[in-house]
Amino acid sequence: MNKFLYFANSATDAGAIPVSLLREIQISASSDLLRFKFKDVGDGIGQEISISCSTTEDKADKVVSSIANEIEFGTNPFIVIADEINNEFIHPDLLSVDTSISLT
Amino acid sequence: MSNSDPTIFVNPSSSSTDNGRYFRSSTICGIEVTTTNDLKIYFKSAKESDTSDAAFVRRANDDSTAKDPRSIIETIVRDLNNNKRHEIVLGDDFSEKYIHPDVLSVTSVTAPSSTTTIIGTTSVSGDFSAASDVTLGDANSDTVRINGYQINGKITETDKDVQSFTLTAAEFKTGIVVHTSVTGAGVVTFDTGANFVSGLGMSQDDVATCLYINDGNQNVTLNGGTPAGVTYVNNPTIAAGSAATLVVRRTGTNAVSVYIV
Repeated sequence: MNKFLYFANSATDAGAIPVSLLREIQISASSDLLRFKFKDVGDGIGQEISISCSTTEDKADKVVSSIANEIEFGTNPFIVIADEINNEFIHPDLLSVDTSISLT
Repeated sequence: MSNSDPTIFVNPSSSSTDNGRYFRSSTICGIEVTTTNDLKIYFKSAKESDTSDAAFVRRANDDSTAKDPRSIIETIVRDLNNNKRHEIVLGDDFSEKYIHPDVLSVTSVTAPSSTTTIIGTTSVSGDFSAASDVTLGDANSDTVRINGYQINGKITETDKDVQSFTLTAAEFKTGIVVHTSVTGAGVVTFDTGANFVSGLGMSQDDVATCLYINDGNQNVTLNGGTPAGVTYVNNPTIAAGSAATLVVRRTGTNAVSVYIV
């Protein structure tokens, strides 16, 4: 299954990226931010796509666990990580998308 | 037997299928919207250095505000994973078939670039060669350091056995001009600024150098005439048996300054 992770800030700033390009999910030092790092789609060496989402402090691990479970066992190829338009998030402790969804 | 990798068709031409493009669905590396009416889908290209970008026009709300793009994107992802389909038409302006009612037309399919961008500190432990232009650094504050013996390759020689002549960009580009000055005091006139800019492929403030050697028996001045777009900054007389370094700097669209060192 070719699964995609979906992020939406607004109706003019949204996107989906294949799970296969996801390389790392990093918890920030203040424990209230998740940084999704994807392989750069243009293969610029030393570049990456980075999307940050706010979480409840010290709950990021729970959010990542939900994401990992959906990636591994979910049956829906369209995985909504954060959709601010429809106020839908993969976990109640994932609160918002903090960066623009810029794939290139 | 399905391999769950349907072929995707995109055609931006309304008059034919001449510009139609097929992609493997597994090469999709991103789907995004960035404005009220756009939808972009990126496909990993065969060159690996870039993506082929398919751009579409999507429907806005009746009040011209941007419509939630989720339905379109979700439809695309679900269709990609529909094992019963071997081909998916994302958008075809010729047959006017689109994957979703909110996709209105195909704007373009952009071919990938061959440029590979390297960000951050990079070291190459073996020999490095490039078959095309190379840019190192991007500003005066950037340091370009060569920790080895420097060789300027592909330098050839332009030979002039005349009293005076016009130095063209092509001759300058050879790297060395040997002028066997004869008869009387000589004058070298530079080609126009436009010809130097285009001939040397110079960007603003680019600098190019060339060695001038007067191995004749006459003095020569190097600020001949008034070529368009050329400013002679200085003008030492190059005596018989002497040499100088000619430096050209692009100062405008079709303008260069010439420094004689």
